[in-house]
Amino acid sequence: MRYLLARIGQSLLLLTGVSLLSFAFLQLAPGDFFSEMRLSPQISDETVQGLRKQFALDKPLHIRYWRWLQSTFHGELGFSFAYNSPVAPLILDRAGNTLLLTSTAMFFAWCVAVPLGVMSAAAPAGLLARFCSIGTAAFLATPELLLALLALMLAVRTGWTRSLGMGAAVTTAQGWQGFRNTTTHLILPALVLVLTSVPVLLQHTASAMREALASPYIAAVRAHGIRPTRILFHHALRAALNPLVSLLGTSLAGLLSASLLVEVVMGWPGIGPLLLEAILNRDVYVVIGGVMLSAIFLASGMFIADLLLFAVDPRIRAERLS
Amino acid sequence: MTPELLSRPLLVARGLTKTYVQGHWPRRRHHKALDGVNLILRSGRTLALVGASGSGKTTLAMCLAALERPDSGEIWLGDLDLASARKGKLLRARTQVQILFQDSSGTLSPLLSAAEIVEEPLRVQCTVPKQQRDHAVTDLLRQVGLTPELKTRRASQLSGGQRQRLAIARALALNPRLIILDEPFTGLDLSARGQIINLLIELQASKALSYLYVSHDLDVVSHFADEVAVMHNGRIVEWGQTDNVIANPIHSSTKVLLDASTALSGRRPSPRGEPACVTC
Repeated sequence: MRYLLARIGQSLLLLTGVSLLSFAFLQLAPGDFFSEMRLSPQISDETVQGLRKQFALDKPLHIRYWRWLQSTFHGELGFSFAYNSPVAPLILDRAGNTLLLTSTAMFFAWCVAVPLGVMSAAAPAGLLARFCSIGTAAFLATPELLLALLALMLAVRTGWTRSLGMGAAVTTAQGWQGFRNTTTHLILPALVLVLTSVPVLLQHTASAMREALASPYIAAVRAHGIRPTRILFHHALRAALNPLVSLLGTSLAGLLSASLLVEVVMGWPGIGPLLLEAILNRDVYVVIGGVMLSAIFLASGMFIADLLLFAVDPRIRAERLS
Repeated sequence: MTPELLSRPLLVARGLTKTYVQGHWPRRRHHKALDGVNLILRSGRTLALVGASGSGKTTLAMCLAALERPDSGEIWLGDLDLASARKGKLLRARTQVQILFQDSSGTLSPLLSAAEIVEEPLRVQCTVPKQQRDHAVTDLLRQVGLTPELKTRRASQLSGGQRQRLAIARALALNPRLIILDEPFTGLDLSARGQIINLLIELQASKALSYLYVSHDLDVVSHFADEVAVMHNGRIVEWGQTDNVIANPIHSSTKVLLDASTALSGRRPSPRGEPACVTC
């Protein structure tokens, strides 16, 4: 219980730090949402000043931060100038879609990377290991933007899957039809995310497995006449799990930032397009909301990793329970 | 044990070679770890394999434990050639040869309890019915001088001596005929080292075990081994009764090892039968 409270305290501290830094950095950027209005001859300086005053942009940083904190406690996360609405509902509407995309991609990425990493570590000179090594290098060298564009082109040329217009399909359709629509539209962006994250995960898995397989403990287990598959998956993978579980936590946050670009390119109605638009318009509170969401993803990922470590490693369990 | 049983060969190795490829092109080079090794291990006896670092001792031990395949040669354990046996037969044969490594903390799973570590080979090889496994584990722990209270502890919660005892209990679980001891006393304090050596001698007497003891430590070899084989550059260059080899070394590498041992301990390793040299 004490550990849980400490963990929640750490997460709150992380979120406070991230929000403070976001405010400070955005303050450093020149101009604000209303700066461009000055260029229009139809809008007077007084009107712009009035709007800036209305949204408290003329106030010092600490007062704006305090007001943002107050609005966060009211569940609003600030106010969007562009949408003329509180930030929280804007972000929450899209966060579900982003979460669906990232969790699907993450699930399949781990499902692909772990068996491939284990098998290539088991036979480092084998055909599969060589294939994985070349494939990993190729996908790591390919920018995800290019990968997304290639996937789009392939989908449009072959007509394999509906590649654009996910927004309407995801938000309006219900029941089985809705599920089908969402799934068919999810395939392409999820595939791009899987292809971009598998190489890193595969490398980590293979490296952790190689280390585990080289340990004297595995040699001793082999001497018992245990079957190679059991040695691989029951013994070596268990020994290699700790670094992989830690990676799982951080990869959740990494996948979120990777998904932003894919969402923009492929028109997935997640927080990616909203955030891009907000950055271009200097809609600061939406940007801060997006950054906060990313920090929440990171904190939750690390928390989930901690829980998993607690479940799989008896040493950590004993340490925490004592 | 009867003299004819003692003299019966348990394991015979002929013409073993093993070459490792080191580095990558264009700096690739071939290192011959074993270069035509012939060896006979007799039932109930201890053969010490000594030699400088890189002489091929550990490679030979790994080949004899069927954990590495030699490039050529034969390793006969009964009527099975371990060097060319198919995987299925090899898996079963492995139960007859167990290996004890130098680093006991590294050879025991950090995730399992002492009982689970000893139970694992019993479960995998199905040598003991499920209902009797717990009793068998307790019995094995007792045989190596560990109390049943330690069953729930993990390896990291045990002392170096206790960990090595646990590794011995795990090796004994499959009733092996040969245990390969790859410098298992390194890192133990003198008292724990003496106790483990005495335990191994007792177990050998009660279970008719054979040992292949891989070491640099001629002090322990002189007390522990019946025969000694000296390795140099992947070959066995000298082989004989321990007392004879220590008293009258022939090959230069044997003399170098003896000189090194004398320089370290301040006296020459004494022949078998003087236990003081083990723990003093």
